[in-house]
Amino acid sequence: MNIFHRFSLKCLIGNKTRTFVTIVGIILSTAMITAVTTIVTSIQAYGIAYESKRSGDWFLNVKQTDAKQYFSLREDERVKEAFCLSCIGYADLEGCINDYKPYLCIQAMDTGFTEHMPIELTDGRMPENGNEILIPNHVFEDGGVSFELGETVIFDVGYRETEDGELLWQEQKLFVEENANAKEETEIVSLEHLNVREEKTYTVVGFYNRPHFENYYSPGYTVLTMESQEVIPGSYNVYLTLKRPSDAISMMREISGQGAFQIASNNALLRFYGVSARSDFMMVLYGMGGILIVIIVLGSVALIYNAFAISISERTNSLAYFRLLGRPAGR
Amino acid sequence: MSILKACHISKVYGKGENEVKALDDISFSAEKGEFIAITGPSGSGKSTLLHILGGVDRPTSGNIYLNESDVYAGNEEKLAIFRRREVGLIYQFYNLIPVFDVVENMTLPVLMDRRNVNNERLEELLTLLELKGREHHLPNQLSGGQQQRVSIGRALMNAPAVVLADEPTGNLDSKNSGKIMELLRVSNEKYHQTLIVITHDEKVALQAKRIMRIEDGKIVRDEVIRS
Repeated sequence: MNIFHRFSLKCLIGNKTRTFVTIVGIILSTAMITAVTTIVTSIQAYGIAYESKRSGDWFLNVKQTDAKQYFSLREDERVKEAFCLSCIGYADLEGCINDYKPYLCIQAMDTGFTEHMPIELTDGRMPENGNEILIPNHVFEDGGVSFELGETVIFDVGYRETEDGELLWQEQKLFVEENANAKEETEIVSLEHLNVREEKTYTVVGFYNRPHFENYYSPGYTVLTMESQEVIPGSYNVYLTLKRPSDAISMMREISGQGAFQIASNNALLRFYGVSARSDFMMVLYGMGGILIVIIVLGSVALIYNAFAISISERTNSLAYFRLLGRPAGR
Repeated sequence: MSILKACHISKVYGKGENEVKALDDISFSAEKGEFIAITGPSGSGKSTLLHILGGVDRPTSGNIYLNESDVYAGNEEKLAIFRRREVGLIYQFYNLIPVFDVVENMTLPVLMDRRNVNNERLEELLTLLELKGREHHLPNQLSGGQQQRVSIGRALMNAPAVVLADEPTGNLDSKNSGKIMELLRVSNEKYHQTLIVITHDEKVALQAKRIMRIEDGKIVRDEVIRS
């Protein structure tokens, strides 16, 4: 240790209280800045984790699309991951007490879907092939129809069609005759029918909670199976995560501009990435964090500046003596 | 043999109306081992001359030669080396580093030069300056006289060619003043270093072999009082 280091060290030791206060000040300010940034990023991470668990880990959902569009989206360089749910068809839910939800909607997942979407099993296990199904609990709770675990069921599967032959999907509520006096309880007159195409046999391997991805107005209870396949164009429901969440809005506009597809964004999740056009959540969070950091930095600078100013004023004489005695340049 | 030579030294502070001529064309030389006292009233330019001789302050014009070498010809680093190795400075208020003990203060010029301390010389000086037993005392644990002795020790530690003292007894009582001057005289005789002392005190001045008087920045008297 040279004489100048020894001088600095002795000055520090000689002013124990100030040195201690300065060191504690620096540690505290560093800790507080770290704490604020950690809190902000933790809230963001918590929000992302919570929303991914609640509504699924996806940014964009392209509905009623086809396999061609699905594979095209998978190849898009902005897309990180793409997974889908394909509608195999509808089956009548015999004995259903909910007049507005008279069907089972059999949907096939791919592996990406099972990894990214919130499927909460309450009993049994996930289906492993196209012959096994998961039944949502609200089939019993809401529809009044029960199934047994391990039960083999046979469904007449087809598609919902209007009288004009137009296909109807889960996004379209039950197509019924509008009643002029809605408050009166009248019999529902359905304007759609199920065009049965085939008979399918499934084994019930599990039950799960009502999925977030099923709209309340959807006319079919979502029954899940594996092995997504394109039965007919429009049966694909594609979910996307992007490499850069900030691309979500522009990509959504771009796909909407193509006209043929319905598209939705997961705003609840995107707002935690600071992307959603409809939420200033992250801006407020970053703003609060920024204000706190500025306050901490100002406090720290004041503390350290004062400590150094006192220290320098005390050492000025000594530094002048060093110079008088021939302090080497640069020390 | 002339070791230190001042040639036409002038020093001007300020500009225009505020211009003050502290030194006005001063020339003199000092022999090796000579003991010179410089006297004069306050503001006459004594301390300015000492600072210029010691490489602390550059003259406005003129040259200082030490062993025929121009002190101010080099850059600041060379000047710093000159201050470390060739001169020893002693001040009225000691100018000791308050956080360093006696030994550290005395060896400061050597340590700044990144050289090893000559322990033999250190011991010799501690004995000469009667600082044995106080090696690890801090300045604030010493009396004024002891602090001035530490300052003298620091000035002598590097065995400089010239020792410059600015009112070395100005802050001391008569007993300590006498002791300090005796030490300076003894070291001057023992180590044959040129000693230049600035003083107001006639008794101090009379211990020198040569007395110079400065008034208004000029040497008005220069006489050898003892050979």
